Amino acid sequence: MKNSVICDYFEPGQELKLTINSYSRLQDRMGKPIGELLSLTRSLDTQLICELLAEGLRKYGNHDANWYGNRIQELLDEGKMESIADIQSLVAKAIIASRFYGKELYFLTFPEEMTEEDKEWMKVQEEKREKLKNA
Amino acid sequence: MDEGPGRKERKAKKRVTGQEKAPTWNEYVRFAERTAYGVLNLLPEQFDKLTIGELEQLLDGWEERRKIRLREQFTAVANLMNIHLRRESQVSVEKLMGQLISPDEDEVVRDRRAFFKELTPEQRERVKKYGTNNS
Repeated sequence: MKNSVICDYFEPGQELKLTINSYSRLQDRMGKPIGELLSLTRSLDTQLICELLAEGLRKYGNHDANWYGNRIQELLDEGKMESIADIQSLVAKAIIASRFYGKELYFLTFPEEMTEEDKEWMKVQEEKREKLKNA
Repeated sequence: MDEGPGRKERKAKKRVTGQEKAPTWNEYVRFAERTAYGVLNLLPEQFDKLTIGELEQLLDGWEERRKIRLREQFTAVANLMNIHLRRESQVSVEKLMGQLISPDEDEVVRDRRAFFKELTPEQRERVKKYGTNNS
């Protein structure tokens, strides 16, 4: 199973991986509950993206969120990144890959990772949801 | 009692997602740490590198190993017991396993679905009305 996503923007072959401790550190730094910061109804703002990049790429060098903010600006200016949405979707994928939003959303985002057993599990979950909706 | 705005919607959402009460992030982290250090015997450095998904995978692996160990033990127990039992009352490894390992929720849902499939429409109605005890 995928637990990280490849992020080639800063250095080729880097893996963006958000661990349990990454989220805890982020929560402490931002001073807000992580559930609120990464709520599915809220889009990822630039500051949060930079903080998540700083956490997820920690093993490649101790750069802070500002450093990533500047680098993103440079990449946008150089035309190496088309828009902020590119990095936004990459970070969102990394969050899903870490399974912060659970297994279902993970399989919906990475359907190629599903085995036959997982497909059956997804079917059962779907049925459960339908049943609860109708209850 | 006034339930406040949005309360009903939140309740409905909880019903749909099937969650009674979602744990807070700090509660989850405490659970994750207890599991990692206690059950999985990990070191803090190892825990630091884990995503939520990886912790789940490690737990699945631990559960699988536990079942294999139990199967080995129960095979020996069943063999010892069956020497002293008549053929019709002999115990199987599955029977012994079933007493210790409860089927997971998905399995229960699958069983229930299979059970309902076998019923006639009248029986189905009766089960819906009175439950499975009143046949």
